Amino acid sequence: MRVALDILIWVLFAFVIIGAIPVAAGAYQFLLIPFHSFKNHYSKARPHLPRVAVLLPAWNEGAVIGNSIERLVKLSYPAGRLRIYVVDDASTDDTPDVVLGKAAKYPGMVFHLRRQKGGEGKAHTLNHGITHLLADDWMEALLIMDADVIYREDSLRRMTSHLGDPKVGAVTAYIAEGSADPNYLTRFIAFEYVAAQKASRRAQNVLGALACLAGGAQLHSRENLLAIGGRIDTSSLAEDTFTTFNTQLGGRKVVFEPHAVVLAEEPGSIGALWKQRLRWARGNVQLTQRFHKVWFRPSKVHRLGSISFGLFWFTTFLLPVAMILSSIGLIGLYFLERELASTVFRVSWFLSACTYVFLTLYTIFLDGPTGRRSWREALLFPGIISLLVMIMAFAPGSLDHWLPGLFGLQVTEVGQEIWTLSVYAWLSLSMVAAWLVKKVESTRIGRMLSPLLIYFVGYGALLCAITFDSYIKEFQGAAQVWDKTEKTGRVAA
Amino acid sequence: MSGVHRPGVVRAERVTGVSALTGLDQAELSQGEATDRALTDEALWREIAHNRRAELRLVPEALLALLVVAGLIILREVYFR
Repeated sequence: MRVALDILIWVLFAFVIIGAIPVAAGAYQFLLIPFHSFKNHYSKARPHLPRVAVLLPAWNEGAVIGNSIERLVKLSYPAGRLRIYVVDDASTDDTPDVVLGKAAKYPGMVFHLRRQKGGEGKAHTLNHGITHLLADDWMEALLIMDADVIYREDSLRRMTSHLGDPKVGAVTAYIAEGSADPNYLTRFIAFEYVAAQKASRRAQNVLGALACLAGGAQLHSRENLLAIGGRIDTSSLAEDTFTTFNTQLGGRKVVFEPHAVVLAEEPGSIGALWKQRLRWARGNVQLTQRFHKVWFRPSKVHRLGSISFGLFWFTTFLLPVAMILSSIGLIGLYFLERELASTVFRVSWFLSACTYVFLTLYTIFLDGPTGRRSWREALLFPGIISLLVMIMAFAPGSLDHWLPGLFGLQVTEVGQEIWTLSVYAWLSLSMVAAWLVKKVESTRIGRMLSPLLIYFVGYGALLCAITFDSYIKEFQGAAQVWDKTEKTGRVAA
Repeated sequence: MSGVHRPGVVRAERVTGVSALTGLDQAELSQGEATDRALTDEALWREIAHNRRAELRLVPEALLALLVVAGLIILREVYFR
């Protein structure tokens, strides 16, 4: 009996350790970033201005497509070396008229390609354009972008300079949130994009393995496009990530250029964000399964199989599982070994607090303007409740004694037990809470309350809840619907 | 403009006084004065060098962030031990 109990305690202890692995992996990833000062691709970049075909998939993008084309025309790039192809996915709004108007204004530079049967998804739309482009040999490089994104004037040439190295197959840029009328959610997204791109992708550059070419900014050499079969994978919801993996598995490098900036309009409501991110997360589940032979198998051809890259991928992909295991471990230990539960809780949350401070500050430093705009969302990314838990673990006795006293309350023994168990369970409960916020957002009062609730629950918890939902949807074999994110042309150029 | 694929032809040579757009048609070069100025050989090399130098700030920024963490840990040891 004692042996079984000991084994159970060890298993629960291991659960808490597993819950702390994503924190350690996050710190490790950010500690790699300074190495980008010396280990980057600039030594092999060179002035290189190939003939670039810009491929713009569009379905009912009348509100944004005209502005996007105008901005592309104004790119600092030799006009004779730049062509813009809009693949109109059988739009039913004024997209064709807008594009044809631009084609007439910029003859030989803007082209309208029309699909008669649309609605099959972005990858099909892209393939329609790629087939057309590969039919003649004008194109030397292909830039795949989204209809709503705005390229900074110097972005394209900063990207093409890396294609000067023939070993590079594709280059991606920094997609920054660029809404002219930001709200709390777009500010969270802005901060998230700095962390996920300017920070993480630099670390991935250092590792030599990139997780994803941003869907709105992927520049491929013609050779790479041909090598991956001259088409984009249509079987998944993450066509950009599949393309990224196929490029690297073929032995060609993929580079992230942090100084090429592209502005994008991001969802302004939790419902729209959930829809967008669920598609991305389901795509990642599909990719993880499809490339199951790649993980943790180092190769001489590519770096996707490295231990570090696998660690980064799976700690993000399985973060909700780690959070649930951590809660189970802590609660189980609480009933079996209360002292041990208290110790591992304090140690794991102390590490979380240190990592949170490091990651948040470093991310703010990496993009000062975004940091200044989104500092509240940066600080409250994990949510006010998680922040309080971190303070409790970091500075024992600070809040847990002081807070009840502030309200003239005296904590009873039962109250203390409920409080402790709630804190231990919070990592899992936060995802449920985020899901509930999404549910109430659709009500009138919920629309008003949801920003405040997200500040309490945490934007990070919201993303984890979406990832967990993606497991469920994939397990259920839910239909793959290409839900286009609604764009209204809010990007500030 | 030539419709013929010329692989490698536009890869720039680092030769002083010669356009970076080696191999480009003159017509392509004169698409606009501003663009031309931005796309000269020297300017493009300068831009790459600037981007490379900009990455050097990653080290002090990381150290500063770590320093703040260290400061907080010291405060914790002093006041909450």
